[in-house]
Amino acid sequence: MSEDLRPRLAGLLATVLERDAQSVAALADDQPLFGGGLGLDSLSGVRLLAMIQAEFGVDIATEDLALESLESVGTLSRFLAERI
Amino acid sequence: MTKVKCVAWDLDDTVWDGVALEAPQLPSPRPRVLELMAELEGRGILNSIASRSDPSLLERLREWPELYARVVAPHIGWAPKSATLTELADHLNVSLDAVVLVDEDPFTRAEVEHMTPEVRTLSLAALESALAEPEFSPPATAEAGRRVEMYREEERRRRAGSEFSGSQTDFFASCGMRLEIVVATPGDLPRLAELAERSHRLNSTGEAPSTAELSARISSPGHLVVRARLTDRFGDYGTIGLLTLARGPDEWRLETLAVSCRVEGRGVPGAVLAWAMAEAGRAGARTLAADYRASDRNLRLGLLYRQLGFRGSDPLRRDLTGELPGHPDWLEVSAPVTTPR
Repeated sequence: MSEDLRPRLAGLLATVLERDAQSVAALADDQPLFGGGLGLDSLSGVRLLAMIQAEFGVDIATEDLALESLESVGTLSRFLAERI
Repeated sequence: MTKVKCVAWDLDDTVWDGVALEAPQLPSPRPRVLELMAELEGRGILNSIASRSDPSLLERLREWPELYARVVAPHIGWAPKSATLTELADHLNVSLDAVVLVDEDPFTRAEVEHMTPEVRTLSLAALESALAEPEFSPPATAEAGRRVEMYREEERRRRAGSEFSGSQTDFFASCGMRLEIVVATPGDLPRLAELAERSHRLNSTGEAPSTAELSARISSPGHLVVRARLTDRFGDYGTIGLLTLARGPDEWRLETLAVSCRVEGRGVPGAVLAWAMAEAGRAGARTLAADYRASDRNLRLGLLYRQLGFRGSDPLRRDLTGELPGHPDWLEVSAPVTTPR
């Protein structure tokens, strides 16, 4: 299950960040999502959460009020892997 | 009680005598109607048109400049009036219960009352007496009193934006946006209380401090209350941001952040937060704490806190000893240095 999670997540990230999917898929686990890392911001973040909900059925905004799962590519994929 | 924000006028047999499409020339507006429109505008209430007629009539409204200048977003078409009013409320970004229809035709009023019961409907005579009600009373703040003017500014902004060919960032840069952050005074209380109460998507705790609570913070030496005002080349948004901070020696705490949804997407919350971090850092604080309670509306603000480096929960915290974020390039920010230490 979780083996195919990463490419699907990378696809969503590539879409909201307007980057190519391959470069996003090659990112290290500890790559921060926000700021200087992947450059996610509040607007693309809202879009990402909406797409995650549509794709995986996980509502991060209500299941992770502190949004800690959005620290890095790794924390987000582990958070999702535990829930799907 | 919901304050009336828009009066939608019917045209035929209401604004003027007769039916425009059947008349050889456009009937002239009743002088009393024009007076009432001016009176409403002076109270910060928008005048619009909701008329069941041929859409070509829209262009011809210009034949009466004294009428045309008074109305915003006129809606003329063959749809049922309830549908037209729903579209109008949407366009003006006001709720249906803040819209009043003035229409001399009892059948139309009945249709609207049935289909959209939130909309209040009045005849001309009923409007005359309704003007004395608190729902129609003038607003308490300068911002609300300028609603008609601000709406026209927003229309010009929207038009300029849709005609602009570059990116959104380039458009913002062309707007000459200036954000002015100033220390709040007791005179600002009515507007700040209103702002806190009306902000939802851009409210950090989902709560609004009362006027008394704000007043106490403004006069408390341990607190800092600032307001933010945004202007651009199209006009003046007025006061659109409120920030209350509790100043401790090692940590400042951001209790309330509220920004008007009218300026959403222009980088104001980020700029205000960046200023708060820099100011707390200058005063010697090592961290800025922020009360944030997630609601179903303020997710974007929660993500903004993370974007700016806040971590944890109850409260969020941001380390101030490292590099601090700036504000978007398109905003020119002027802010006070408040801290004598």
